[in-house]
Amino acid sequence: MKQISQSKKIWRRFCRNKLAILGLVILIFFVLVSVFAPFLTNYDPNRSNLRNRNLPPSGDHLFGTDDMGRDIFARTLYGGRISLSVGLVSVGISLSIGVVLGAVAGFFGGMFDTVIMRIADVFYSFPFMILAITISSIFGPSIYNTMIILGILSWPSSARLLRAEFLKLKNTDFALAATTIGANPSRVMFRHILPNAISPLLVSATLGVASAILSEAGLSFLGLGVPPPAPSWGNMLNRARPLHILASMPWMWLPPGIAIFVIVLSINFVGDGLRDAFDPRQVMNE
Amino acid sequence: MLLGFTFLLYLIITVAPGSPVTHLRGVPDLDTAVIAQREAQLGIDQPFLIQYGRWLGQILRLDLGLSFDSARRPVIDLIGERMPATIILSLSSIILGWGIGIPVGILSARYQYSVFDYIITFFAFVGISIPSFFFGLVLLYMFALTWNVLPAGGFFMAGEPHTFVGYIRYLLLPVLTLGLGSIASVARYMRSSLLEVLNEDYLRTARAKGLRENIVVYKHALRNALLPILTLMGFMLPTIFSGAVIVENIFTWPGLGSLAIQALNERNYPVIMGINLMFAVLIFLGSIIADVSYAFADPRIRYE
Repeated sequence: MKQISQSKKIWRRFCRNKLAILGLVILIFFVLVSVFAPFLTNYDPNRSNLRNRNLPPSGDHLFGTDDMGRDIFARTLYGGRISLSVGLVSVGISLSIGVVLGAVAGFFGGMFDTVIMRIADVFYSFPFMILAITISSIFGPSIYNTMIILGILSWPSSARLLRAEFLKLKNTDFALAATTIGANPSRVMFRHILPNAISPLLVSATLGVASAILSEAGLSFLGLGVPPPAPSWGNMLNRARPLHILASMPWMWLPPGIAIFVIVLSINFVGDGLRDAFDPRQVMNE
Repeated sequence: MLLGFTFLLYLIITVAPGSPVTHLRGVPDLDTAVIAQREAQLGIDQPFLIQYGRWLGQILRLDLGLSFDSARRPVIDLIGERMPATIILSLSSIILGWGIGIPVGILSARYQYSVFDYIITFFAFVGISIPSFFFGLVLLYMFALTWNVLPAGGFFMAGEPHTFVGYIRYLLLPVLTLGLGSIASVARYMRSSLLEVLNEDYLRTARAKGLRENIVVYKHALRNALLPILTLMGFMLPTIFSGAVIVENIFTWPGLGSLAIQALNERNYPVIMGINLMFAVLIFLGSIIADVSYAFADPRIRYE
């Protein structure tokens, strides 16, 4: 019998999920398009040209121009950079907080567990958006504040997840063996246990990027996320809100809106596909 | 937990750079004594813990302080005015989400892997992925601006009679926008919860004794599958309220969410605090209701 490595098995299971593959392809497309934005358009996303205001889509301006004469195609491409980087950085922040706190809570238990999980409950049970707009307006909206706010407000979900994994894994033979031969707790936690808890973490991080992109867009839509003139899909939608623009110039708000929708949908497909691929219960019907 | 939240909130607000008197510092002819007097009047010259303690004592007496703006109105009145609109909006969206989500989820699980199931699963993904502000704008564009069949926002003009049809007309678009996500996530949860229960041994027994599949599903399985959905109720309130802030903003709905944005722009801290607090209380009540109804529905945990 041929031996197949674990990652190959997971990849094979992932490939069987057509929606997940579709999501992955779209996601890669979005990443490439935003990375290579300067090669795909000659327009500067922030340069306004007051003679070319409110132009409908044409050969010159693929998606038309906005009320300050900026090219919407260019702004949509560059907006993707902002959305993706806010999504990745804020998930990075929330993961680093959540992993450490969740691991400590699960591994040591007792007081640590109680205190950390109570704090997590406080964050968890509160309407995210209301706290986010409050903090953002107090410290002033900026792209870095947006990343930090989203990261700090969303750590509890990864902390909870990791705590549960640690509770399950800390009494396994390999973890006890590592402790017995004298490895110190942090080595046991992060070298021995953490790698075994990586798959649920990866799934939650993937879905976390989707919700961070949604939240960034929501904050920017309310004018409290990424501030203009930097293009973000959320603040482009915000700019298109006056009813006359909404009614007669759909090219200003359709591209960023569809972009957010499609990227979030494809990340969700990928996350769901990963979850199924990692699920050991699926091995049986292989 | 509520206490922990009030502390966190007060901390954030107090460490914030910029206070209601910051703009006064820029005025050249203004004496510092005047600023100090204004600070003392607003009570923001005291040390942090004293301010926090005093504020906590006040809110226990339901006194949320006075608004910082020129009208100096009691915050509790401002909130009281806006709260009904937010509650109507959120409650209708919850009812819509559960009323559609649960039956759809049940059917989807009952006919697993059917065409219907695939369609529902796909639309559930769409529902959780579409940003409410984009979906709201699309609805606004179609129904209010292009076809002109529904109002573009607001909630009853001054002097307009409060008829039932009027309620529906104003509520339809915001509730649909806010409720779409809940429909999708309730349907997904309901489907997976029912599928999980359908694999239980006692259902095999029920089938083995010759019961029809419909009776097995709707009578035996459904009751147990609905239990976890009840707890979902408590989790979903924060999401609904978060969404309400955005939806109120799109449809100029006169609720707490639009009041919050307005207060944030004016750096009107007592109002912001009051709104945050009010949401915390609503969520707290919601989770208590969810817990109680869970105990009510599941005899196994009643005496624990």
